Amino acid sequence: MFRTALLRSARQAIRSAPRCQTPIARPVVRSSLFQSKHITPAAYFQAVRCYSAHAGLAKEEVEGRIMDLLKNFDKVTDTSKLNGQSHFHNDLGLDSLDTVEVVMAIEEEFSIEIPDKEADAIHSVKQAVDYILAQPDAH
Amino acid sequence: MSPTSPALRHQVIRIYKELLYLGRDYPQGYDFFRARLHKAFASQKDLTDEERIRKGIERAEFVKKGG
Repeated sequence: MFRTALLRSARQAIRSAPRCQTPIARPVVRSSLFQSKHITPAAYFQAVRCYSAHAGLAKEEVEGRIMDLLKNFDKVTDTSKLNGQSHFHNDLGLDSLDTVEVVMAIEEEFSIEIPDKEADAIHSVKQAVDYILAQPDAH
Repeated sequence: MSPTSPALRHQVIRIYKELLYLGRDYPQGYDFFRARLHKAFASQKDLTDEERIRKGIERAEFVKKGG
């Protein structure tokens, strides 16, 4: 009697295990609205952990976002010269004031604040990418 | 790159940034403001005399307070 009950509960646990995998794997935002009732405390905890975990910006993503930003910058007329190595002044024809604006746009894009001294040292797409990658707060 | 002192250069860049932030809600549009501000600063790019650069920064500060 006791043994069958134990076996049954074990079987049930095994069967239900893969089912509760799904809410964990789903994005937090989607599950919070519609599936909040189904989420077990363990899954909820997992979701919170996922949220706080450092996403770690990939180099390609940072570069892509900076390039998009430059593409939309009206002072950049010759987008054919725009690549990962472009120099703001030599390749894109931006002056130092434009560079200040680009750096401001980068600050907003990645929600960080770049100190004046470091902002002054950013003259190319590569330098900007390297700087963002070195910032743990950038996202 | 100008050979003038980096401290003055940073001051100019800072006031430029501050004015840009202020221009966000300029009535005639941010792009209008940005182009004008850029022209105003670029027209003074040949200044090498530190005293005159300081005067220019003072003028920018005056614009900032008035705006």
